[in-house]
Amino acid sequence: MHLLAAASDRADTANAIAEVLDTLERAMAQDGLERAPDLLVVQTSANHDIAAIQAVARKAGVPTLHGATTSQGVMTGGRMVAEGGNGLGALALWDGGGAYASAAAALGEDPRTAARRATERALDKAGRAGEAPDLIWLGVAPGREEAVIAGIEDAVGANTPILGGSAADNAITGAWCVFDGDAHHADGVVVSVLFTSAPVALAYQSGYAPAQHAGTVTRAEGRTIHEIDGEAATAVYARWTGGRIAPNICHGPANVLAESTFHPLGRPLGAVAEVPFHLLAHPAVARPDGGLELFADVAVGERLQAMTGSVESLTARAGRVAALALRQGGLAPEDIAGALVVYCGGCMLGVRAQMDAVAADVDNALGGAPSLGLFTFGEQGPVVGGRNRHGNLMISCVVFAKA
Amino acid sequence: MADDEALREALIELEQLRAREAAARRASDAVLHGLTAITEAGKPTAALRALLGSIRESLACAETVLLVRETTAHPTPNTVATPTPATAPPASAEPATVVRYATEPDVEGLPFPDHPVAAGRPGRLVDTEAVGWWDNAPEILRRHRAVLWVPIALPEGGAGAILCLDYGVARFSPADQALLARLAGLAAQALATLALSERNALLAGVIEGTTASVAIADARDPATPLIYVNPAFTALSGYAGEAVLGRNCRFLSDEAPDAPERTRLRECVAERGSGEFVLRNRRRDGATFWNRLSLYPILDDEGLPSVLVATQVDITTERAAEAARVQAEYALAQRAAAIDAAQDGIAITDPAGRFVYMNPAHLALFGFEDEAQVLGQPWQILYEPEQAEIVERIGMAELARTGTWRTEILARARDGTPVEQEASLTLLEGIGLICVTRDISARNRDERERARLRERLSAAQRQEAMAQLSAGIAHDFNNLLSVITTSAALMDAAEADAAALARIQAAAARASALVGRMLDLGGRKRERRSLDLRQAVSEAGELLRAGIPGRIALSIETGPAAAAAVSVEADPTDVAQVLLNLGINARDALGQRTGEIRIALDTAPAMLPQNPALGRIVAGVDYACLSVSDTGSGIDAEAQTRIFRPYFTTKGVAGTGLGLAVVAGIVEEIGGALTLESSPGAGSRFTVYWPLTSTPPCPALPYLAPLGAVEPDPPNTGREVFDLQGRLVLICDDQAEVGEGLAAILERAGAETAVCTAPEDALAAITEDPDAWSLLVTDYDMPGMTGAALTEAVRAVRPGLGVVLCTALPKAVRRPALFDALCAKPVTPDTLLGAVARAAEAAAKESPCES
Repeated sequence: MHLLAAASDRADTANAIAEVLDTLERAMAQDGLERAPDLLVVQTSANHDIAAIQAVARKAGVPTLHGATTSQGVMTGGRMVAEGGNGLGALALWDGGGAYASAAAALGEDPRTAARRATERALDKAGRAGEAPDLIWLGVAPGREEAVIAGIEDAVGANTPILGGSAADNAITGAWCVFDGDAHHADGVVVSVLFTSAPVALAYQSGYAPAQHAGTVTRAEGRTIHEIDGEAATAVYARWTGGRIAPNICHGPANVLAESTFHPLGRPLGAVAEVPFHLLAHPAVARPDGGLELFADVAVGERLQAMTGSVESLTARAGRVAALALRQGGLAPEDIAGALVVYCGGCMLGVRAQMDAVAADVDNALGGAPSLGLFTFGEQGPVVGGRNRHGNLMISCVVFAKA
Repeated sequence: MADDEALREALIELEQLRAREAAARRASDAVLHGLTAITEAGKPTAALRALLGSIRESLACAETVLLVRETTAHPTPNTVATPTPATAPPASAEPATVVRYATEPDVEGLPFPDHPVAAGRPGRLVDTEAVGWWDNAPEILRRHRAVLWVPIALPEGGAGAILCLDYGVARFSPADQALLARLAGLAAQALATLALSERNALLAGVIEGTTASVAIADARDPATPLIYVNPAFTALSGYAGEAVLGRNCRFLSDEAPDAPERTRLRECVAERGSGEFVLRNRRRDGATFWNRLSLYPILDDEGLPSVLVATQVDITTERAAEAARVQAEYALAQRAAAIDAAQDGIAITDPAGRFVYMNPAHLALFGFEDEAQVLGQPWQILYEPEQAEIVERIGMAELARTGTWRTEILARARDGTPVEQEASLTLLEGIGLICVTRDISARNRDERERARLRERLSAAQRQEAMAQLSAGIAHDFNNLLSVITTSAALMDAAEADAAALARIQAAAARASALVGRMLDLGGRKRERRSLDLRQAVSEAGELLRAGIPGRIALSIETGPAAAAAVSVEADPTDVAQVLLNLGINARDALGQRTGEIRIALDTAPAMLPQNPALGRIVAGVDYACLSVSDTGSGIDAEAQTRIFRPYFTTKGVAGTGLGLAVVAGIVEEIGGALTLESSPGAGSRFTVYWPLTSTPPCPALPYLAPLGAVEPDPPNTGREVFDLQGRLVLICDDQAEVGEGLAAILERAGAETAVCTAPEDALAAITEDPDAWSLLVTDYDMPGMTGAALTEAVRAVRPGLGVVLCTALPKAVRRPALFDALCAKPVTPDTLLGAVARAAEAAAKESPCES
């Protein structure tokens, strides 16, 4: 297996593509690669022309294109590539002994079915209909990720790891989209099935710790918590954060996304040695009716744990997650061909100034292997116990062994 | 990093470590479980099935199967012990995937979709209902929803896979896949063990069951004792295993220890080498046989000989067959040489009619020097276009119809000269034409010569018959004329019309002249000359051979005394007449039976026959004996008395009655004799005694004058008056009225006469009183005795008695000198009286006392 990564922060799509292509072609020539990659993962800031990217990929003969928008830009080569909120990054993968295919679809009214069909279509394209791949690489519009995971599992079962992130933009304006080689969708999903000829290993973690407070959801609807322990959710959340996040909601909903980055809510996943582990949900909007909107579904009866994080932990966590992925696969940095890293867009915004250090840590952990990091508005992956879940403020990494 | 975060990270890693350890422990347990199952199962096939059961338990699935994709048609190993289910696909050369082993025995041998094996990689099928190929899975497996498989290497080199099946959808995880991959290694080893076991069992079975004798000796032991012999060895040698194990197999040899082949074998064994030997061995029952022995060592893992293997084959029959083959090749070579050396030309063409073989005689017949000049050439090169067209139109049609064709045809030699060819063609399907040919130019010439001879003989026979007929008519007619003329002469001219008498006498004279000319026309002019009778007999014999059928053996022999020329005075046609008539009678006497005709020529024996059937044997005369004998029906005594008479035949309308009469005439003419020995059923032998010219002529029997050389005495034209007073003349003629006429003429001249019609009476009268008679006037052709014989007989009684022969066939008289005078009928008084007067004078000269 062979991977190469390239990125550009040119604002102009053509120039950005040209720069990325130039970088890739030079690396291919250096590594003796003469054919198009079997899989091309493209992450781009939302300002770029998706159709142009697809056209270039088609022209290059790329059989499988997996694309999604990222917040601000990408990180690769030990640096953040997001100058002026422009970033276009690509990870190219060659694996003659494997099978790879992507399929994008609009989520529509039934995101679970849409995801299942997209998965089945990708399997068909890979020539592996009915089989379970080694990994599902997922790109999905924010909002209905849980249903999408269920749909994918309908097709490949719960034993296949699903890793990916929710498409993002720079200002939460809904400019995100996902795409494959043929189509792109704002409210859609792109599923890539990866049948690899070499092992893959992954880690999916957060950098937060439980705080003092906890409660039970007593009224909720979708991603909105109306009450915790019978009390308005906004009031409870303000109390749990010591009043640090008590927005003025007299005039309407208040965006709390930035402030809440270090104070997410956690849902218990289980315990190791009686130490509980949580799946995070990121509060985004405080509503005048006391409701608190999140970037993840919450159900009545779920136990919520106030969580706390810090700039230091979020800065150091990405590199540690990459290292954890290597250990998970029993791999040394020199054993891997490359990696994909998903870093929560909220976290990125919270530690924006330290992002070069984050990228450097990741690069160091991977031993300088080609990698592409993306910034998302939700992260999907297998939690403790192996179940695929959707969470917020998470960091994940998948490493591809050379052989 | 905060302590809490560090703790959680450590816990996660601990959890991951536990998971990895659990997976490793699971894998170890599964491997151990599998090894235990293999070990406890004992036999390789059971071990493989036990391993599949162990895998099923380790992966907690419903079923485990082992698929193989067979690229060549051969029975699966388990079918040796377990018959292939009826639903199994027929053996074919097309690759096909089947279930070779399974935890569910009922599916073993069933066809299975090719997909898992063809993939050549692991796979996890989430839900079988989502894929179409699963519809082709065995029915009893179709209810399974999840499938996990990994490929497996087969010892025989084909592709295979181990499958785990379960009823739940998405039942198998990547960890399951990793575990199965590990266990597949065990399965591969079990398969290899099974294959090795089956191979060993197969080899053992083959050695035990083969009809070739196999003996194995311990090569590590200097004595090289036998440690194994198979049943075929026992069958070959008669020695059971227990009787020979531990012994060196030299006890089988029937050859001397220093025999070359045995020495070579001993050296090979000593070197632990390999080789082939042919030895004469001895069975336990003492019978010997020829043994072709192949010896070779088997090396251990260090490359040292551990055992010596000897295979033995009884080639006694083979050697005999080889000897027979050599003999057959020799015989074939002989035949080929015979064909090459055959005087007849032999050629073979291919189906297209082009020569592929031509023997030297054929080549020579057509003027070719070398076979290469004709090989590949069409047969038409030997014929002019017209003849080739005949062969193609008639011959090929006949060959197509009957397979053979025989013809005589004019061919063409290489230089264009014609070749009179007899060809016998045979069509052999798929081979071509076989042509046997010979040059019949000489034969045709001979045949033409024989035809000419036959024609000449036939003409002679016709002429002879005509002569016989003419003579008979002339004889009778002259007798009648004689009566007329003598009667006319006796009439008194005064009492009769003188003119009328003159006309009667003139007419009688002209009639007599006419009869004489008729005899001249019917008679054959014989050309007697001195010749070698051997040559004449040989030629006549070959002429006869042409008319003798193949069932009758004709031999022509000349005795030792005839080694030199056998000289006789004869007309060659007479020789041919005698031989052909006797030979044809002999042929006819054999009828349709097989038999033998023998012609023999030799000089006569010392003891000559005293009473020949024809002619007379004269003492002092040398004869050649020419005999014709047959094994035919024979001749009864009554017929023997008549067979030489003209027109007597025993053949009915097929016979002329002239053959033996002609023979008789010739025998008489040559002064020979003929004897006949025959009896009914015992065959016949005619022997002609032919006087040799080396013998001086008998004075008492002047040699025969040629026919027609004798002229009757001329008439007495001088009207001389004869006085026969006092003379007693005896007249003998079988025609009474002729005799009486003659008597009347003589009596008119004064003689006394006595007339008799039988020569025996005449002889009796003279014998009774020989001196009483003055003269005898006799006819020639009379029954029982000719005039010549009567004359001789009378002179024996009364030497010097004058005899006048008065015959109707004076030219047929063969010994005219025997008589004192001769006159031809019809006779005139003057002629008769003149003849009588000359005879009387002659007799008086010989007997002066009488005169």
